[in-house]
Amino acid sequence: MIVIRPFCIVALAFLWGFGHSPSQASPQQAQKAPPGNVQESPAAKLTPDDLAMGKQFFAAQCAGCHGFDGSGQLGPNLHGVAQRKGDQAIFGIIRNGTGGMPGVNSLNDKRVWQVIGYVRTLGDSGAAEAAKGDPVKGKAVYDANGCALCHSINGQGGGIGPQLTAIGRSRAPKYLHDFLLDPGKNPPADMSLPERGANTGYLLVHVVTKDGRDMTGIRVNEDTYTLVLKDVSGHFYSFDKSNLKTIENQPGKSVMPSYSNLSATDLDDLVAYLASLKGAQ
Amino acid sequence: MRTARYVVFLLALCFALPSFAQVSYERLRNSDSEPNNWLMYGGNYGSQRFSGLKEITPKNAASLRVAWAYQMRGGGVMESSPLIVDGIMYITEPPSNLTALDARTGKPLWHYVPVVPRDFVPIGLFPTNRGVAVLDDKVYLATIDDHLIALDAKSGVVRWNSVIASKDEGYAITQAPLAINGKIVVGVGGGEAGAHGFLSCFDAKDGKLLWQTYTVPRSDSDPGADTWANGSWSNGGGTTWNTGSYDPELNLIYWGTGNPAPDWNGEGRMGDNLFTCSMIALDADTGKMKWYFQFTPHETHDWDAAEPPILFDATVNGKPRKLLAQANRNAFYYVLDRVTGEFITGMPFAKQTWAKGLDAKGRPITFPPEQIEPSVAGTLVYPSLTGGINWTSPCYSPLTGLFYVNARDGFAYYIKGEPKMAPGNSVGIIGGGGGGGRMSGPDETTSWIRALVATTGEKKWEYKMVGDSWTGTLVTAGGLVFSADAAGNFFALNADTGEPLWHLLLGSSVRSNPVSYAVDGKQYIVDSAGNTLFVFSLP
Repeated sequence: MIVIRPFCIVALAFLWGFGHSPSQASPQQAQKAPPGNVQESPAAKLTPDDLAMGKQFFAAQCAGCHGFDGSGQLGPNLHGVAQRKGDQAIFGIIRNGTGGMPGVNSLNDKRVWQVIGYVRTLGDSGAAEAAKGDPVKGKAVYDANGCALCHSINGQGGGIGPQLTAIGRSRAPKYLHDFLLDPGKNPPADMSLPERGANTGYLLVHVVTKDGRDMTGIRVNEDTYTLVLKDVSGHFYSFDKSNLKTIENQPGKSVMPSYSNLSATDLDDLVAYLASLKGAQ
Repeated sequence: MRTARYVVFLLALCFALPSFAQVSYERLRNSDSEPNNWLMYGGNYGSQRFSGLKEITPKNAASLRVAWAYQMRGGGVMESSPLIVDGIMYITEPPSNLTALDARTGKPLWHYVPVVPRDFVPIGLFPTNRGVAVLDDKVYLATIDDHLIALDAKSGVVRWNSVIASKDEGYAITQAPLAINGKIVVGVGGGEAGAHGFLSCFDAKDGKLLWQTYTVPRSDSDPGADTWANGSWSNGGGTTWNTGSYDPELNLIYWGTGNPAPDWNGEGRMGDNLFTCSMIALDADTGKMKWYFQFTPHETHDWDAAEPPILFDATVNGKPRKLLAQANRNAFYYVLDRVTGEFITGMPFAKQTWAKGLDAKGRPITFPPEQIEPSVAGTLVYPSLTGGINWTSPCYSPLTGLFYVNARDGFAYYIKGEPKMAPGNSVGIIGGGGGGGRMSGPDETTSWIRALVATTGEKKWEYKMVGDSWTGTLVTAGGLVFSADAAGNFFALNADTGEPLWHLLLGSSVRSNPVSYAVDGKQYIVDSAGNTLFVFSLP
């Protein structure tokens, strides 16, 4: 008998990731909490059996978004997260949620600590591969290719795509590499509005109105009766569906171009630069 | 002169305030005769969620507007289905709080907050509450930590408090109890926690337990034990977590049961696993099982059969029949004879890829296990873990003969886990002791209001929504069906045709069942969105 909430967690948890903005962090992240010291937290008292249980809980509840090895898929890479943020802060995130991740209220405290203990065992870099390129050169690639027209880093840049200030915390290098080659294949969730978080992020939609106008834009939100799109200039277009002749979702496509034209070296450097962005949260 | 004015003032005051009258069993039994009130969770004993009110019609529904709103005192999402008794509305708020409101204005009359241990975290379900029951002068509330509490309906004073189950064994309750003749019937949740399902019946006057019937064997000699290999009935399951129905003439209680434990991995519990994922009919006086019908034998996808059973009478093949219909979480619609449990007909009402169909007795003809059984890598199957429908209620109109269901077309990758289970010690919500799944996202899920011919399941019309809706349905004598989409658009459809007539965005998801009532001759429609209860009427 599983009812509503738990399974919304599955669906919603998929959504936390690329577009997650630091400013959306919930208060329960306990940003002021001191860095974790395992000796001071209940995680210090965990036995090997507890850690094995934590692994099971993690596989069952967390791996869908964070990957079975915790290196991140649609959710952030968790390697080292407990060490950086502190056990209590992670406890707060699990219990209360953050960004697009809802709180988990179906594990009691002991089980949450078992999960935290397991996450600690993943280490700081763990199985996540290190970026191969040169981040300094990668910044030049970033600048030369106009990425800042749509993305911002430390407050500089456009707002069409996700902010990248801390993208290195939430995305593994491999994801970044693959994404740059085919941005439409595995689009991130756009968590800046709940309506966006409930659906595929940055979905391109082509509409034709009954009076013959057409446009293609990024879906901002949609329900049974309305659709809001955004163009690459950031203008919003609000449609009453009763006025639309056709609505064509275009999954697999992205307003962001593929960077398959970059040399392998430039691509590695760009990935290394992005992976190095771990701005303050 | 002054005295006369004072008397007039008092009289005016008396007329202005709601006055609770006794809700006898006879009133409950004849609830259809007083459509101004909504006296029990399902609207009537048949759980039809049909309102006899007809002020609001397809012609004027476009004029509906918000009459008043009530915001919950605490956080969370309201899932309560209100009761309305003679101008007083009873709603529940998470986790197990009860509030009485003036149904004319929404002003609170009293509020009750039971003591729930702060460290109690139910497994596999969200700590909420979906409603209460009324009988005579009391309101009955089942709490998340497994208490049944009777309160004075006028004042909110607690009259008695009985323990239904132990939260330490994984039990938790979110449902509204069912009040019958002098008795309060209530089930339990906790299927992901290894709880052993049962149905309890308490004396309405003093809270004394009258009977308790388990839905799964408790020993090798119990009925159904031979359907659990190697004594695996000890795993538990078969919880009774949603409110059932009642036939006063037959004196039978009908209740759906949940999954066997552990879910998603049936290797350790070979067999049909009776009486899980079944409809059970119990004698209301003794709790003795008169019949059962198992929808999903040896279930491994979390397709509980807890969906409300709707009771109605109709002619089938020229013969008048007493029927029970259920839109099951496994995506099939079933019609049973509620006297005997005989299967009459069934067909899918939502997309499904696990069964070729149903045989003559209603047993599913499944596709090969490698196509449908949970696996380590994940097996894609329709419907999803949340099912073609979940806990929200369908409705039935005796005027149209249609069964209206908010149906979900969605899938999940079903993942197999460890086949271990111990009461109160689940492997988490998704793991649930045995695995879990990754569900289709909102863009991959479509919700529909589907109108089915109640006697056959044949689809008459459907109305498409965007996203994954979690709202029940209400049908009225005025010819309207009410529900909501995933974004929180509350809407009215023509009950005959499905034509959309009106909608209003309520600003948050609607996770409850709409109801209707009238005060002073004015019809109201009620549903909640987020933490707010909205009441609609014509201007």
